[in-house]
This record gives sequence, C-alpha cells and structure tokens, in this order.
Amino acid sequence: MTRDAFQPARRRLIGLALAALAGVPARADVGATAQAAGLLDAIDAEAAARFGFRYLAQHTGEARLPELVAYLAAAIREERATGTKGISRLTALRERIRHDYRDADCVDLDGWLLSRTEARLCALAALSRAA
Amino acid sequence: MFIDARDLPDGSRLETDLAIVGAGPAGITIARALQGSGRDICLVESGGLTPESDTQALADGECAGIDYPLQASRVRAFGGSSHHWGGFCRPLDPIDFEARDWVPHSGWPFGFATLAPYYARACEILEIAPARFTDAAYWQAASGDTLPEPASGRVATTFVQFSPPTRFGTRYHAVLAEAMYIRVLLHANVCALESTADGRAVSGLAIRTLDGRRLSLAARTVVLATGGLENPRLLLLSDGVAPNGLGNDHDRVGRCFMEHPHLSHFAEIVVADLALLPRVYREQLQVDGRRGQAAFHPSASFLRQRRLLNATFMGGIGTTFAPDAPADTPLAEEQRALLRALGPLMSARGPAREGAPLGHVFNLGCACEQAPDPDSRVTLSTTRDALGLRRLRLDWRLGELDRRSFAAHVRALAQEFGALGIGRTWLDLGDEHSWPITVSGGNHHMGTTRMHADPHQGVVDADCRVHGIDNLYIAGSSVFPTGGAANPTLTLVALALRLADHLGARR
Repeated sequence: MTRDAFQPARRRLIGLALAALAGVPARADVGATAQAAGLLDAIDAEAAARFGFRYLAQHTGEARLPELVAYLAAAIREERATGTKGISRLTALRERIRHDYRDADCVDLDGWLLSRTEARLCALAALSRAA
Repeated sequence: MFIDARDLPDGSRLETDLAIVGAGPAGITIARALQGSGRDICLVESGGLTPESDTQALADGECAGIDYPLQASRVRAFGGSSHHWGGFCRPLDPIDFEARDWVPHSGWPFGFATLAPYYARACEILEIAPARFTDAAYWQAASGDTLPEPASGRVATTFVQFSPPTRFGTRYHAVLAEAMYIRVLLHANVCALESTADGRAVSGLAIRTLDGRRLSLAARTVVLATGGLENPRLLLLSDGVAPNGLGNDHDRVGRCFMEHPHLSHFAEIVVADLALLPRVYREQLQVDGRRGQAAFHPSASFLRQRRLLNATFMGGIGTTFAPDAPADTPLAEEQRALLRALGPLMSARGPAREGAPLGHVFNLGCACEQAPDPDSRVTLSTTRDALGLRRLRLDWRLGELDRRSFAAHVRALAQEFGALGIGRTWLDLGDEHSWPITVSGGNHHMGTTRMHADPHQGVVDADCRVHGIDNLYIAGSSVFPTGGAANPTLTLVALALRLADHLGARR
C-alpha cells in the first residue's frame, strides 16, 4: 500500500474482517468478555480496533474472543514466570511484545510491522467492539 | 607552486619524477605525503582553483542504464569533488574486506587491520581526529544519554563523524603553493597516457588546454587520481599502444561500477516517547569540536546468516503530533491512530502530561552496498567532448541481491525498534526484488579499476599498481573491490596514504 491509499484499503479490510466475523458463532462467554475488558484497559481500544480488523481479515481463524483472551493471558503468565516477578499485566504485555520483535514474530498490517501479540491485542479490541 | 597551463607556450615539454593526475582528495593527499621525499612532483589538474562551466562540461557523458548525473556528481577543479562533499566519514566495516561467498567478486587483497593505521592518519587530514566511530561509551558520556544495547543481534550502532567538511582546494592550497618540489599545473587536461612501445611502462602524459595548447609531461611514475569515472576513461582513451586501452589486457577496465544506492521515504517510525531514542540518533551532536551522529547498520553475524549486503541507516525527527491537532494526510491519521492505540505499550512513562505531544515520526534514510557486477560499467561513447576526446558512457545496473538486502535490513531495523520499545514502523518497500527507476546514488563512484591480485579479475594489484605496467598507479575509490555502505572519502584518503608509503619506499 502506498502512503496515499489508506482509506479505501481500510474500508476493504474492515469489510473482510466483518465478513469473517459473520461466519463465526457468537461464543464469547461472560468471563472472557470481562477478561478482554481487563486486557484492553491500558490501551485506546477504539483506535486499536482499526488495526485489529485488519489482523482478523488476514487471520480469519483467530476471530474468536475466548481464544484471543486465552492466548494473551497465557503470554502474560509466561512473562511473569520467566521475567521479573510481580510485574503488572501491562508491563508483562510490553515485555512480551518486545520479545516478539526480538524473535521476528511479527505481522504486516497494511504496511505496519507489528508484533503478533500486539496485533492480537488489537484483534481483541476489534472483536470486543463487534460484540 | 601553481602554474596555469594556459600561460605556457604551446608545445612545452615538462618533466617530473611523479605525475599525479587529478588534484582532488586522493591526489592532494599523495602529493602532501610525499612532500620532502626528494622527488619532484607535478599535480596535474583539469580545472582552475574554482569550478568553471567549460571545464565542468568535460565531465558530461551518456547513460545507458540507470539515469545518472555525470556532470553534477563530480567537480573538475583544484580540490576535486571535495568542493561539494557533505563531510560524512565512516570507515568500511571489517566484513566489507572479506571474500563473502554470497557476494560475487568480493574480497579485498588485505583486511581492515592493514588499513587501520591509515584510517587514523586520514582522520587528521579530514579534520575529524581523534575519530570515535565505534566508541559508544564516548558518545554516551558526551551526550549524557544512555544508549540502548542492541536487542535482536541483527542491528548494531555505529557513529558517523562529519568533516567540517574539508575543502581540499582551500584547506591545502597554501601548503602546496609553498612546497619547494611540488608544481600544481592548472587547466591542464590529460588526454592520454603515453607508454613505451611494449606497453610495460608509462612514459608521460599528453596534455591539452581548452584554448588549444598541447603540452607533454614526461614522468618516471604516474598516479591516476581522477575519480571512479574518469580513471577508467583515461585508461581506455590511452590506446596508442594497447588497442583496448592501458591496463585492459583482460577487459577489466571500467567494469564493476558501483554506487551506494540512496533511499528515503521507505519507512516511518512512530515514537511515543523521545526519551527512548537518544538525541545522538536523531541529530548531529557537537562534541569536542567535532560533529557526530549515530547510525544503524546490520551486524556482521546477521549479514553472514542471511547472506546479505551491507547498509547504513540514519534518521531524524520529521513530524511531531500535537495531541488534538487534526491529521493532514491519510498516513498521519494512521500514525496518530497507532500512537493512541499502542502508545502505552511503547512507553513505560505512564500517562502523558497535559498538552504533551501524542508522538513523533522518525524518518529514515539509507545508503546501501551494491554487489560488484561486471555488466555495470564505464565504456567510451561515440560522442566527443570539447577536446575531441570520446566521452564516457555509464551503464549503471543494480541487482536482485542489492534490493533484497535493502528490504531485509529495513525489516530488521523495524524489528529492532520494536524490540527496544522505541517505536513502530510503517514500511513502504514497494517491489522488494527490483529497483524503482528513480533510484539515485550518493556521488560515490567505485570499482571501475578494481584491486585484485589476479590480473584477470582486477585492474590494479594490492599496491594499487596497474597490472602489467611498472610505473602506473591508481588512487581513489575506483580501486575498491567492494564498496561497503560507508561514504568512500575516508577510505580513499586512507588508501592514498598507503599508496604514498609504497611510492616513498620504492625510490
């Protein structure tokens, strides 16, 4: 994508993401929804959803809120287990994201090179909005 | 002593021990280094003390490959292309000297250690000594900022230092004017090198002025120092004895022309907290009377692992986003959205104070290594210049490895910025396997009389002597077998000092 072509591309991707969501049973349980809200505390979820829709358009199989919540919660647990003890959820996420970049575990979203974890966090924001 | 060739009688015959053709950084460095050696030295310069349009027009030619500014990329005047030099100084990296099995025709006849002492002397000539190209502790102490440790192992930091820049024509004018055994011959265009009947030695130079005078200069030793485009042209023009040109028995002269493709607008990095990107990465700092700036380059281990060419990246802050200002472009809107979305995950500083910027955009520029390609070359055109000499014809080509290396390094740098928590990168790499037609160089002309121990693979040997010719040497970046990703001036001055040592010992 070139630097002048964001608007049409974004509309196209959001359309694809919503189409993907339409095919997914609405299985978000109350617990997962509450956990998602907690995970999204630290960021601007509305702005993040913009990037999350793009991720979901590329990864339609991940358009399931409970699984994204589980992935992110596990990532936080791992960072807390292997890194500094007692770190906050935000710090753990930040560390996990840095490790993604270090390990080249990244995704390309319309020109943005983002860590897989932060892309999934954005996807969670998109799913939460869609729900 | 300065002499204007236009003041000499037509048909004058001059003599010297050492003729140096071209009074740019390489030629002036050799003359100064051999001053007081007991030799008579004649520095032969096409132009005057300052650039003149009629002389400059002699630099014109034709392009067969990527479009290239043949006239504007060099200066024919006393001081040479230092007249328009930007002052960037950085030595080649040690890996640049190595034979890399993934880079065709790579490998210098010697390693970094051989050139290291000459780099130190070159830094004095270019007024950046003592240089600190890899001394992060020095820049950290000088700037007061903590510099980040590399996170991924794929990218390393180096430091570019900036010469004032040294304009050789003014900086070293007085010392050459007063030198007892150095003559500087201005407005003297060398049209051909004259050689002995067997072509094994050069006997002198055929010189013409633009006002029609013909002169000759007999010389025991000749050094060509006219730059990476004109050095091969002069050899090819010298076809009186050798029909293919001097030093061209194996069709190597003019081949492997290399530049440093310069790119911009390929990536923008949004940074939430400038404290994470120390000032020396964003701007030139003045320390101990010298200017320097941090640059990024791929680590040697990453180059080996991924089998890539080298590159250098530098950047600066282009945009600062006020918290509530509207975005004026779609990209700016994207960048603002990303900062709002992910800013807290980049910066550990907590909520921004009231009115603080939402973030910043760090713009990158890149200079890339180009692999030697025998088909990227200088030949002679059928058109002629004002002296009746065939103009040069440049066919500059870039290859797939050059482009793929660039793209891989941009991605690695984007990952490094993420791993350091500095920012997030938006990439606009286009086709990652072919070059846009708008690519430009850095006025760096390299490789056209490359150095190699084997005359079938190079024009000059490790001493910069033209293979098969006893007394003809070449100075300048045309002898670089590979060009790395550092601006060539520091290296070509270091090589000129090394050549001067060789000539001094050869008496």
